[in-house]
Amino acid sequence: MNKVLILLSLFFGSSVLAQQKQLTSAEALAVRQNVREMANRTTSIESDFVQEKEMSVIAEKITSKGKFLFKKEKMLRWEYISPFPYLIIINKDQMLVRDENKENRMNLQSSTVFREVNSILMGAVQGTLLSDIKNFSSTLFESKSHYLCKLIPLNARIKESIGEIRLYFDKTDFTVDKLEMRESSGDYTRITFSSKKINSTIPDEKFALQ
Amino acid sequence: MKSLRFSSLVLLFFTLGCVAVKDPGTQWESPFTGSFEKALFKTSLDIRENHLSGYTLVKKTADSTYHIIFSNEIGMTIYDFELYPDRFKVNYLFEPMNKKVMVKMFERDFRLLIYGVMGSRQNFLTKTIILSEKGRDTWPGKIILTNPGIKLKLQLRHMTL
Repeated sequence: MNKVLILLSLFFGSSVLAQQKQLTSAEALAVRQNVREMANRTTSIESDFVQEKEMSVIAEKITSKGKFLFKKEKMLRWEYISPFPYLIIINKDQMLVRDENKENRMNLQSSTVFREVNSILMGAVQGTLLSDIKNFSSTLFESKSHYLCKLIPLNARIKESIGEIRLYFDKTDFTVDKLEMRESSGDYTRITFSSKKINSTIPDEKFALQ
Repeated sequence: MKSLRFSSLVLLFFTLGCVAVKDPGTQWESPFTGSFEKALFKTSLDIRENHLSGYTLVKKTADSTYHIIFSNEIGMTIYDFELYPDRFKVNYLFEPMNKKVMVKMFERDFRLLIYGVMGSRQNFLTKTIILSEKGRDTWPGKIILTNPGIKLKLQLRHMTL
């Protein structure tokens, strides 16, 4: 370990450095390739998720749970079950958001922000965001169980709300296990996927905007 | 039944700049003072034609100092404020809302809500309604802040943390 690393570990806590090792460019290339291949083979994803919003400054968190469905091309159903129901459906260029009192429909082509959010979402769940060199600079790390990709937005507008995105890939099948969105304040939202099913048959009706 | 209960539950209803109107026999006491530590609210915020929803966490971080964070369902922060008896710090405010008039309004409304203190006469546009279910607990079930001047309606529904 060189002096810089020792100094860094003093500042940031040695555990982080001990658990995560930055990949060499050859290793990173192989991981990117594997993720891309997995995304190409994936026609659908079905999964439960737990979302934790960590408010680091005040040491509090809000936990919500739900179900998530993805089907190629560009169909996504993101549904919170607890603590309150909340549903987001994206079907091609159309989006539906439904909370307890209101239902909103949007055309994703109508605004740049929607288009960007949509492409981040789709890229994050499939893992293909790590190859989005136009919008993100990315660095790959390795821990015992995961490959971790840290993505920094290049676009100033995205940067304003998302300082960094972290994607945790399963080392065996290269699917996304965990997703973190970090805000510049240090707060972050962690989404952990479980009971993941790849390429199961999901009827199109699940993505119907009714 | 529900509406009957609802109307009988009105503990407080006052308009700033006017005289505070209280339900007879009830005492205005902010639930955020005293031994209060933190509270979570299901939140909806309507500004003009825009509708935002999510969760608001209010935490007392020191004596008379409060942290107020509202984030939407997917976890993105909409606002993050620190309220002190003598100042108001904006740690973050969602860019389209980040305007002086909005900051002033949020400060006014939260100051009123949390400290239970009425501001100056300039506040005449803000209206705060606090609904509480008598007999269940002392915590208000619902808090509504409205500001017709900028077409804003903020609704907070108390949740168990």
